[in-house]
Amino acid sequence: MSKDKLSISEIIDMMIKKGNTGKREAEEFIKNLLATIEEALLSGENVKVKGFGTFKSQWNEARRSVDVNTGNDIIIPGFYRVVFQPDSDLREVINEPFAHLQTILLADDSVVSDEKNNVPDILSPAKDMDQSNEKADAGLSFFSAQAAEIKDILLDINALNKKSKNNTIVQEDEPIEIAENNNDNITHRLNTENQHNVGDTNNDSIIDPDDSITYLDDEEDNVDSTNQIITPITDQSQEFDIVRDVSLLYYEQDTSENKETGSVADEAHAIQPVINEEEEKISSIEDEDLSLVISKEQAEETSDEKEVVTMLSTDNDEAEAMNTDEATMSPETPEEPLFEPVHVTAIENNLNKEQTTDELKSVKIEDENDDKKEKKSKVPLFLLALSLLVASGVTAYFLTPYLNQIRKEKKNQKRLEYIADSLSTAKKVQQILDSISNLNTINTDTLPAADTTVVLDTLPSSLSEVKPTKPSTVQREEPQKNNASAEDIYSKPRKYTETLAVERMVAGSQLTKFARRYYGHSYFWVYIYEANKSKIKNPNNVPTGIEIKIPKLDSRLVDANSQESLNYALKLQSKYLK
Amino acid sequence: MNNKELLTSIAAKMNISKERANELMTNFLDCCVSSLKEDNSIGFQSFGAFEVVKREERISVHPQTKERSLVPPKLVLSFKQSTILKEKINAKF
Repeated sequence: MSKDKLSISEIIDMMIKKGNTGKREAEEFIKNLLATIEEALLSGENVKVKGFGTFKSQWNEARRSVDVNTGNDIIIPGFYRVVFQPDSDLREVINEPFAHLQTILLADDSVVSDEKNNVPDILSPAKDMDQSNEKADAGLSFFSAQAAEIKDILLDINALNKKSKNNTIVQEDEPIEIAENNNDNITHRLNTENQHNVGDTNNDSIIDPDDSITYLDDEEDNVDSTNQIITPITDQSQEFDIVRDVSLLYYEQDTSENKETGSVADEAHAIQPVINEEEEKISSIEDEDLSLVISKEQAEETSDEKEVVTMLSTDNDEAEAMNTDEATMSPETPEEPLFEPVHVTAIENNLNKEQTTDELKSVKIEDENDDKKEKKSKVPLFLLALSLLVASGVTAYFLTPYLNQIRKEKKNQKRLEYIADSLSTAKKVQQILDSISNLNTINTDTLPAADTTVVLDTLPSSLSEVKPTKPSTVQREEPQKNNASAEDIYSKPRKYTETLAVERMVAGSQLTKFARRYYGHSYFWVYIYEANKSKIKNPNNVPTGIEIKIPKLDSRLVDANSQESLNYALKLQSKYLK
Repeated sequence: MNNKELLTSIAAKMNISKERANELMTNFLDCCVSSLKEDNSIGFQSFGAFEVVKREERISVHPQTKERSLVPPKLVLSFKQSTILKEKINAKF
C-alpha cells in the first residue's frame, strides 16, 4: 500500500509485464491517447473512455476574490478546466475497502463524533445516556457517602449484637465474624452492660431462645455477607435504662411528627410502624429504577428514616444489604417481647439517620435562606437605585434656576467690565478734550459728555498716540459727531482698532458664539467678521486654527436690547451671507 | 467523442488496427487501475495526474424532507490537470 507517484514509463513497464506489447508500442499508444484526448478537449468535446471515465472541459465563471498579496479586491476571470469523472465500475473498484459501508438515517437530536472510523457508529443514544448518568452519579455520590456512614454505624451495632450474643448463647459453634468496635459511645456502653449482666436470668426470658436459634440459622446463610446482620441484643435492665436515656436524647432532637411525651414504650410503638414502613419502602424501591426523584418525594414525608432509607437504596448494593438487615429484623418487630432490642437498634438507626437528615435539612434551610437572601437583596437594591434617580432628578430640577442665574450673572459681569473699561477710557478722553477745549475756543458743550464712545472708534489704543493727533482729528470730526445719531453709527464705516480679546478658532467654534459671549447677541458676529475680513474669506466656513480679534465696538452698535441695532446687524448678515 | 471514435483515431495515428488499439487500451487501463487500487497515484506529463483520495464521513441533510443521514467515508479517484494543459485550453478563448 505504498503511495508512489507513477510515471508513464512505469506504466509502460507494467504494460510490458502484462504481455503482448513492446516498449515502443506502449509508449506510442499512451502518447497518442493523451494527444487525442487533448485535441478533443480543446475543441470543447467530452471524451468518454470505456471502463475508465469521461474527460470534460468545464467552464468556471468569473468570481470576486481578494488578491493574496495586497489584500485588494480582485476579480478572478472565467476559465476552462479539464475535469475527469470516473465510471461507476471504476468507482466501485477503487472504493473496495469501504464498500461495505452504508449511509444511515440519523435521529433528530443526534450528534456525531468526528472520529474517523471506517464503520459508522450509531452514537446518539449513548451520548445522551452518558449525560444523564453523569447527573445521576453526582447525586448518588452525595447519598452514597452518607450511606457509607450509616453502614459503618450499622456494622458497629452488629458487632455489639454479636458480642452480646457470644456471651449469652452457648450453643453456637459457627464462627461469626465480629465487626471491629468503633468509638461509638452507646455501643460501648451497651457492651459493658452486657458483660455485667450475663448471669441475669430474668432478662433472658425476654428473648425467646427459639427465636434466637432460628436467627442463627439465618445467620449461617449470611455469614459471607459479613457484618450486615443486626442481631438481637440480650436485654438487661440497665441496658434498658440506657435505651431510655438514648431515646430521650432522640426526642430532644426529634422534629418529626412522631413526637410523643412519656414512656419509652410509646416511642417504641411509634417507631415500629415506621420501621415496618421502611421495609416496605426498601422492597419496593429495590425493584424500581432508583433516582433522586424518589428521595425527594419522600423528603416531603415527615419520617426521617424514610429519607435515609431511600438514600441508601439508591445504591443497589446497599439496598440488598439493607434488605437482609430488615428481613432479619422483620421476624422480631411484630413480636412484643423483642421490641426492646429492636428499639435500641432502631434508635441507633434513628440517631444516625437523624444526623444525616439534620445535615440535609440544614442544607435545605441554607438553600432557602440563600434564595430568600437573594430575593431580599435584590429588592432593596432596586429600591435604592430608584430612590437615587428620583433624588438626582429633584435636585436637578431645583438647581437649574440657580444655575441659570449664575450664568447670567457671569455674563452681566463681563459686560459690566467691558463697559467700565470703556467708561474709564472715555473719561480719560474727556479729560483730554477738556484740556484741548481750554486751549482752543471750541465749544465743549457741543461735545456730548457721556457719548465719548463715538470718539473711541477713531482713537488708537494707547493714549500717548492720542495727544498729538487729537486736535486736528477732533476738530474735524467733532461737528460731525455733534449730530451723531443712531443713524450715523450705522452709516459710518467702522474701523476696528481696539480689540477686546483675541480668540483662536478651533473645531466647533463659531463667530456667533463669540458674538454672544462678548456682545450679548449672536447677530453681532458680523462685526467680528468685519474686523477679521482679511483672515475670514467666507463667513460660513471659518478656517480653524486662525486667530481672530474680537473688536471693541460702540455699545449702541452691539446693543442686544435695541431692536435697531439688531436689525442693522441682520442687514449686514444678509449682505455677507449671500 | 466516445470510445469508438477515440480508438479509431488512435489506430489511425499509430497505423494499427482497431482491435489492436482496443487491446492496448484494455492493457493500459488494467495497469492504471491496479496501480490506483494499490494507493498509488499516476502522473502523465503535460496532461495531468490521477490520485485516490479519501472522503471523510459527513452528515448530509435532505433539503426537502430535512432528514439527516450519515454518509460513510469512501475512496474516490480524482484528476488534477497539468498547468500546461490548463494554459492550452484557456489560450484558445
